[in-house]
Amino acid sequence: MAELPNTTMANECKVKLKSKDDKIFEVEYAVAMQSQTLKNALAHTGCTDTALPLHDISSQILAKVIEYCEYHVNAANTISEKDVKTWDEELVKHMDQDTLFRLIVAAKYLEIHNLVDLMCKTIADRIKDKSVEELREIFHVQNDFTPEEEEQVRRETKWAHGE
Amino acid sequence: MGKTDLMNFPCDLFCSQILTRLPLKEAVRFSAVSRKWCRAWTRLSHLQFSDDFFISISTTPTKRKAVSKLTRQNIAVDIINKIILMQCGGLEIFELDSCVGFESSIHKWLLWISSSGVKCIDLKNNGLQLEVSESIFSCVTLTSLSLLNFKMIKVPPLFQGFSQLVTCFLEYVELSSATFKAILKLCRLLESLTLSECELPSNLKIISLSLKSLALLGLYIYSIKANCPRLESIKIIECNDLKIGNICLPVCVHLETDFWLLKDFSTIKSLRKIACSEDVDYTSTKTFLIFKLVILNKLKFSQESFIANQQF
Repeated sequence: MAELPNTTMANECKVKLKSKDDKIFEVEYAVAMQSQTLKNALAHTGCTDTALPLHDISSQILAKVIEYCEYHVNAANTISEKDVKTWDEELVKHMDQDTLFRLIVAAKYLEIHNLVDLMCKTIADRIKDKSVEELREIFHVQNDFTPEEEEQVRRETKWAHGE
Repeated sequence: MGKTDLMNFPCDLFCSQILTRLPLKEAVRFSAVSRKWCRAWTRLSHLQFSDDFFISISTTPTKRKAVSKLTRQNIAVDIINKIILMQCGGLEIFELDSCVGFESSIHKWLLWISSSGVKCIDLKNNGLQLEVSESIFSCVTLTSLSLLNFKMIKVPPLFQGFSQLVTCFLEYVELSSATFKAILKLCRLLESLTLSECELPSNLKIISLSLKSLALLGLYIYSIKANCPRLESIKIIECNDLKIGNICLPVCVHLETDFWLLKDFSTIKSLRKIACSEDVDYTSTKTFLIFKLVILNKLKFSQESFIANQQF
């Protein structure tokens, strides 16, 4: 095999990740490289059999992150941009708020910028053009203003509440 | 398992990543959702007063009667004053897409944001050319500056430079020779400079120890002398008064330019890469022959490094 040493390592190295609830996930090196955090970590340790602990990420969320990264690694040169975009949209279409928020936190920690972007854009789209009452419903938030406080907020930002 | 909902979501992250993507009006309106978020809009990292913003505030029914243009402008100034004054840190990008009617307010606004560590300022003037406000020179933390349709004023004597400025984009900006030279000299980290349709001295001298990429678009200049040891690429498009013999560049620079300029390249000996900005009709024999002559005989580089239509 006339491959360069580091390419061989890249092909054979499997990265192990451990979720908060002690579940082990094994991913290809290229997939792990989508995360700047993992990239830096692996630069220090090299390819190791020890699982990298991700203390704040549950297995459910980690699985979704891996799903995203695996698709994007494979899609990199083979699938059209338009189709990748469609896949992304399908991924987030019916995602609940809880998952979205947890994914953002995880993606931010792992420094997977495209994923952070996608998640934030999705939430921003869900906020856009909604009334305050609708927003409270969507995000399961109670109105915890006193009447006087609410009046002050609305007065200060009167121009934004028109319509 | 603990739920991560809006109430538990880190405020900073929400403001900088999510609210920032919303139109300003909506980001501010979010403040009425609950107590936790009532000041979220004061931590926006990106303030964009776009055309949409001005439209959105002018459709707010105040008294349901026709308001004069002046009143509308005053209302806009009030709102923008409030938004900027209430920002309490973290502002990185400031964009103003319309300057007409705000000439006297821009001074204030730039001064206010200068103390917040703003990194990127983008001012677009859609009316008659305005003089740049002196307050711009107070924004010393800038890494990126973009101006459209302004007249650059003299650099204030106490100005130490935009010491972090990396990117500068000037379109329809009038600059004197002294001001241009001073800005280049004082911006020691400047890497990318674009001058588009600007009024500049016709014998352009560019002296910068840090400049890596230069773009000159639609300028009425006769000559260019670039004393920039780090220059890697230069783009010269539609500078129709420019004579080829009057271009003096450092060696080993990637040049992209119009074909009519390209065909006379005889003084540039060792450019590494060359690109043509237009679609040239290489099927015309005359054109092809000129091209081949220039490229293969006059310039010392391999055919692979030629980036253009590969029909020959």
